[in-house]
Amino acid sequence: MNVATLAKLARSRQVPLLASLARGLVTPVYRASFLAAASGNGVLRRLAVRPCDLDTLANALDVREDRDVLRAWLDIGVRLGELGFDDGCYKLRGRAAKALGRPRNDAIAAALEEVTRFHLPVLLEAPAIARGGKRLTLRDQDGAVIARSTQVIRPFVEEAVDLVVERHEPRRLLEVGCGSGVYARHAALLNPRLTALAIDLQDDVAADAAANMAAWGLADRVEVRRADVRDLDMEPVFDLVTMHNNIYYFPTDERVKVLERVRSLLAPGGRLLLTTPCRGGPVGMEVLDLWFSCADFGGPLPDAAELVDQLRSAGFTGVRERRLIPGGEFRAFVGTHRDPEHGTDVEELI
Amino acid sequence: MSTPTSAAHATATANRELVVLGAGEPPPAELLGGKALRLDELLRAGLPVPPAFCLTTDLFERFLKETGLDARITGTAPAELREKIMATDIPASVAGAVLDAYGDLGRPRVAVRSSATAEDSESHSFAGQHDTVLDVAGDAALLDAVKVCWASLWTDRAAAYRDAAHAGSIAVVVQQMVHADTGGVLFTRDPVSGRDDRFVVEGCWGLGEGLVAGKVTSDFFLLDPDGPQVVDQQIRYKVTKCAPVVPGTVGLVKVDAAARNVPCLTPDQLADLAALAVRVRDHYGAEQDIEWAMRDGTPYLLQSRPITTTPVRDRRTSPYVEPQPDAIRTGTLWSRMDIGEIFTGVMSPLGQSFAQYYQHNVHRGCALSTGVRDPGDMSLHMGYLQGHVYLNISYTSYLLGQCLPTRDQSRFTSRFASEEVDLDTYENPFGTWPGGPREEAQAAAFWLKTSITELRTMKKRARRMVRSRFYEFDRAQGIDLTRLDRPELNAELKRRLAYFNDMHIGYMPYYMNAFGFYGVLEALCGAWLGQEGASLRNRIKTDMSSLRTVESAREIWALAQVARRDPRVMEIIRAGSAHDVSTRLRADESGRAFWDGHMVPFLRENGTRGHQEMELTHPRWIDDPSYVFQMIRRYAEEGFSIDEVLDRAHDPREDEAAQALSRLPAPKRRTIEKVMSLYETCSRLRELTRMSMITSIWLVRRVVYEVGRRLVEAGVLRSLDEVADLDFADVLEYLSGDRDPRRVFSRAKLEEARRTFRAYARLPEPPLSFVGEWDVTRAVRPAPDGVRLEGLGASPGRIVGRARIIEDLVWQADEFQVGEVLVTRFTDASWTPLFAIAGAVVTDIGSMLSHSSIVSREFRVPSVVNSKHATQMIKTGDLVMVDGDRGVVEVVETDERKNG
Repeated sequence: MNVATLAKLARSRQVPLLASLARGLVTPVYRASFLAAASGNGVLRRLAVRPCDLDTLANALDVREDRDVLRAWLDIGVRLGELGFDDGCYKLRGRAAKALGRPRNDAIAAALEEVTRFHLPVLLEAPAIARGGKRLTLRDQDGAVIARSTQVIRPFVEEAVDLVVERHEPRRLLEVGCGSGVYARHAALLNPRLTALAIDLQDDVAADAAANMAAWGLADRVEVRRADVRDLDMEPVFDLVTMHNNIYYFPTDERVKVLERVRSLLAPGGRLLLTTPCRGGPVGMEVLDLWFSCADFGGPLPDAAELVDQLRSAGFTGVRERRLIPGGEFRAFVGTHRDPEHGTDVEELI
Repeated sequence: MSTPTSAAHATATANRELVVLGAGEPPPAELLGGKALRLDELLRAGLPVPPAFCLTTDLFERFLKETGLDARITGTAPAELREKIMATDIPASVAGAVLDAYGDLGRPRVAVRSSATAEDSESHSFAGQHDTVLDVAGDAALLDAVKVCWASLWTDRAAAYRDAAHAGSIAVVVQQMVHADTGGVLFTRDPVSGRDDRFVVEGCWGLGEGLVAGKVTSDFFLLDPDGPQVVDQQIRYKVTKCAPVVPGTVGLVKVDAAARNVPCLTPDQLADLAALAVRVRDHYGAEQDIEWAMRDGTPYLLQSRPITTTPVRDRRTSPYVEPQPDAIRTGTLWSRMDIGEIFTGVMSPLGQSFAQYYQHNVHRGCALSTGVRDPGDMSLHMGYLQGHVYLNISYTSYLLGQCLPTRDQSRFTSRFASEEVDLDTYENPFGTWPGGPREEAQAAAFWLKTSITELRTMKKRARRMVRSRFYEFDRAQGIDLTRLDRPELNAELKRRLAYFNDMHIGYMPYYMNAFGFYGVLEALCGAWLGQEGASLRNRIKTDMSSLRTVESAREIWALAQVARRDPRVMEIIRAGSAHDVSTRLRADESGRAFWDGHMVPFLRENGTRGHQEMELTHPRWIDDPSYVFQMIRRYAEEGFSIDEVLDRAHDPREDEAAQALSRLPAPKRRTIEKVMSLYETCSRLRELTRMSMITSIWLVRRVVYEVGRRLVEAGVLRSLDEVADLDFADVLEYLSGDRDPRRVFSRAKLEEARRTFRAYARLPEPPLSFVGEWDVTRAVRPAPDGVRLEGLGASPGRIVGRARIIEDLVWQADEFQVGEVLVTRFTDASWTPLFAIAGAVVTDIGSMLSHSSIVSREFRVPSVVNSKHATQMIKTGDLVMVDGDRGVVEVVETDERKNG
């Protein structure tokens, strides 16, 4: 390179910008993408157990031909400082890699996968979709990843479930959008006489949940079915319906109808528990909101006040709403399907 | 052109297609089917069978061929075949032949019955699986009835038990209808003892069909055919009979009041029947099961078939289900005295099997909840004899030895022992609760802990139980069970049984504690107050308005007041049969308003009541509100105020008792008052939560009847009446899997259950309590000369009034006149509205704390319970004196109208 070229570059001021971008933006994106991929394909989990050589990893990932590509990908991990290479074996090196490799951080790992695989594309494609490009579909989501990532908020959802599940009486629960089935399981463990029907829109998710129930020894109490609540033609046998993190899978103008359908499945006096992130939360939630705005199904995250109104329009009474995370926008809504004359004065005799 | 040959041929053809039974050459058996063949044989033997002709299987085949239906049988569903037959006109030539034969018979009213070729063969019991149309009049109706019978070859129920490809063929009998005064059956062998030197006759007023279907009450006669003479008889109070309502429709109607208590057959008529039965038996050389009818004193035989069942070989005399050591078997005290209000009288196979479900799944929790630490072996707690459910008093009192108040067995034992039992010679074969010091301490600690917790939580639990009953009721009302698939229905039954479990366990402590506190009160009053204490404890008053059972009378009264304000509504309620009032109300504008505004809320509060609620076959008010309408009729007519009834004259002896109490030193007085208040609280909560318990039984009943409906649809049951014959365990099994219902519910088992049940129902009732075993053949019948009955004075006061025996509450409620003495076997909550207008109440069964006693005290109606035989000894119309203080009932004057 000659001096003139150097001078030209210096004058354009692109070099410092490039350097700053590389430090502050590009490398983090590379690292995030690499970690998301390494988490998703199980490399982090494997290396957390013990260092492995290329052949072992190739076999594990079922890579037969292009071992060189795999090597190149792993070496980038080394360059990013997340992996180390020692004595012919790859190992975990970075703090993030080590943390994400631990099974108990699976939900965080899944959240990272969600960001890179769903949030990034929608940030790139939203304007094109707005111009009339092909909208996102349910297939653009990986149900398994979503199910894992929502584990982050699991303690908060479980707390909400604790508040509505009766502990002793025989009860029947309908869980709409059951995901992996953890919340149905939580309810079933709270009340050993509870039986449930858990449904999910996606075949594979429902199949996994059914397998989970069998593994947990709950198959005789929790039935899992692939079904759309909008088509669920059943008698009002349920005492409780739960909908965790899926109201935004329904377009805004359909929500009242969905909630009415849910109410029609409830016994008089039965309750609905709905948990969902609402608008106004952290930027990640806004991106999720954007994703649903770009999809050919679902709709934006609900506005808390608007959702309360929708529950009332759907005929629920005694609608209550509470924040599950202090200061956050993750909320629980409870409504009762109650006949107007449900009260009784017999109790007063006691 | 007709030649002699073709004419002869035509006659031969005609003979093969239409046969006058008992005339001409005996026709080939295969043309007639089982029923027609036997009628033909009986007629040929010169026996009095009403004239009949038979449409043979050949005629049926010709019908199929000429209408082209024969080509479409294979591969068509039975239901569709039936519809096709009903929709097809009978070709003119076939119809003409039938109507000619009908003309030859004189065109009387006829009974049209199918007679299938596969019926009654050795290995299949198809009896009754094909249809019968009674009281048919006129050509068109006859042809329709014939089609109904033909179509019945392919009813689901017939097809369900037979290889569909071998449906066989079907003949039809058209027989002159006998409008029987009395009808019934005769067995030439006693089905219970197996003795063939005894004939058993069951008879009822009206058509025998009512008896065969188990719908009406019947009289029972045991005959020695050698006399012939009547060896034993049971004359029952017969309220309803089966008879033509309008031509072509047979239904239940009331028996004239004068005929209800009278034997439906005279000794001469019985002798005539026995003589006929001997001829039939000798003709066939086999024991027979004969259907007969009596019209104007003349007997007719309607059917006879060989008795195919083997006699019951070892007739059980002990309620124990499993074999027991001799000392236990012969020394156990059994009683159905107080459990008699929920497990009453003879129970259907379904009711009994449900009682067994209770015993093995729920009773344990009930024992624990009352403070019994070790509930023992559940299989010993209850026993079953002759269709009656017994509580094992010996074993229960042995286990109750673990609880402080019942450590001394005698109080519990004497409460459940009726006068047949000599307690002086009774010794509990289980002994007393053994327990070394350690066990005793543990048991006492458990009882104490349970009792303290109970006193602390009893109101809270009662509130929860009341709230849950409305929740479960509303929920159940919103569910259309017919739309649930089998797994969903199973989930529903499981849930309801879980609720059933909770409500029984929740109820039991109130029951036991009311018993316990009453005992303490009894002891304290005896010790401190002497004579006056005895009357005090019987006069414990609880707040009227708080007693749920009494409240239901008040609510029916309120309902009657509302109805009275609208003449149109009252007109509908008063008109015609009470059974279809609800339908007519809902079809009318004002009626609809009354229904929605008043009946629906009333039924929500009270609708799950019925009588003998553990008996699942009994409909509840909400299932059949006719009793409610009967009471509305009664209350509206009398124009009295329920509040007046409740505020009956003040009893001066109450003041004496109160004064005696006030003379006691303060600590003693306060103790008695405290115990009284606890007793009152427990009784009140017991009444309140009883409704929750009753509701839980109704919830289960709903699912069982939905299963029944499906079984009828699948052809496993002939009608919903047969739900009574189901085994509850089979219902559970059917719902919990996907097994073919025909395999789960064996037809043989159903029929066996029905036969056994019907045999029990005609036997003398086993006693309310007894020690060891009870043998029906050695049962002593009460002496008829003593018109003085001693029982328990359950509610004080003396009154003289005309007796009215109430056998069937629903059918008779509107006959009851204000001030009459209500005489019945037992009462339960559903009877309360009658108490409000009764002069006195007398029951066969009951104790001081049974429902009738509590409620009669509330209404201040003199009452004697546990009179044992009142319903047998007293007749409707007799003038009786009821002395509630001494527990005596005397007939002062028999009703001359009947005896003269």
